[in-house]
Amino acid sequence: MPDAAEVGLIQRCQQGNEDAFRQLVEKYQRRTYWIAYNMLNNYETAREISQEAFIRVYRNIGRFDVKKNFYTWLYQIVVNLCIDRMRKLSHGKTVDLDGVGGLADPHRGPSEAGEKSELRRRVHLALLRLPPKYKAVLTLRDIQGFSCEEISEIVECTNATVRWRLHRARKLFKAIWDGKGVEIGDETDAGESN
Amino acid sequence: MGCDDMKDLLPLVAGGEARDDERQAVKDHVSHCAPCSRELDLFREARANLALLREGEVPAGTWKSIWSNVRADLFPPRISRSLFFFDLGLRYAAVLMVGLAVGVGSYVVTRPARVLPPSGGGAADPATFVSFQGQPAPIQPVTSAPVPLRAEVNQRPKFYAPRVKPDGSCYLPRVEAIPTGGERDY
Repeated sequence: MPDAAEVGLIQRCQQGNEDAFRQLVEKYQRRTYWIAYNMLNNYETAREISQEAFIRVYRNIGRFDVKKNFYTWLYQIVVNLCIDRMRKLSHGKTVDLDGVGGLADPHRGPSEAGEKSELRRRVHLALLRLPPKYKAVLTLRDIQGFSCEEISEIVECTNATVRWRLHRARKLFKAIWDGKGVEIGDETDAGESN
Repeated sequence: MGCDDMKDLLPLVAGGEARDDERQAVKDHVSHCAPCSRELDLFREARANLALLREGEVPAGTWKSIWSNVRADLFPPRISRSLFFFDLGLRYAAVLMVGLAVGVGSYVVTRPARVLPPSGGGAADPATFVSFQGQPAPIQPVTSAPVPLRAEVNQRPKFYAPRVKPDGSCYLPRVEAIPTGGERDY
């Protein structure tokens, strides 16, 4: 359940209060931005997605039920925008990783930018190779720390489906990280319940 | 439970999504299975690596630009009523001026050629007119020298004016003056 202060802010936004909406934007823009960035790995695109998400939120805030969590609705919009953008960029192709070299190369020395930034870069590259649905749950759970219940609200599926996708996403991510050839194939998995 | 069954549970145990009984089963198995224990550690390590991406550095001005762009889209600045009508008037005036310019330009390009008066004096022979049937039409005596036409550039052909007799009648063009070539022997 949302707190009373946030409910008040949302109600003022529903009446067209610009200052109330600015406070909402400032409260959620960081997380919104980083979810978009983790999914798309581009600063400019992440900024555009964040802006578009807030614009859509304001335009539809009149229909929002204040008893529900605002952030799950916001992040749902962000994730859907990111998935749409990824599909536009890739034209629906999934990545066939057979024969792709491993990213966790033990013989690679540290880059000049530092081991941590090199590690982040490699993690990003591995994440980029996942299909959008798996990338979304992995981003929300392992990067942003949402619970399975919150993720199920954001991606609009059951708890069991979220578990299945997390299981599949982590196995794929690990296989990519270890440099094993993996055929991801279709995004629709037999193990999903929805 | 064997290693194959464990392999499906290890990712969920590493992430904390496993049920209590599943977690206990994995814990019991990895206590005596080194490969599965190693596999579980690798899943935990991958999860820790992913957590590095939670936040980082952003380009300068990102947070300000998000709000300013959202604000510009949702709350555009309002202009006063007088400014609105002034702007509207300017737009109509601009359209009118463009239309006038197009109209004047079209007129200048398409207007017919004018006949300009001659630049100097000089007597010129009057022209004679031959009727349609070939009979010389009666003409009025010329009292003053006719004004030869000065054609505009690429407008009119030149005429060769015949000489005038003292009594006012005119000769047809002299034979010598007629260009040669093209005559036939009938």
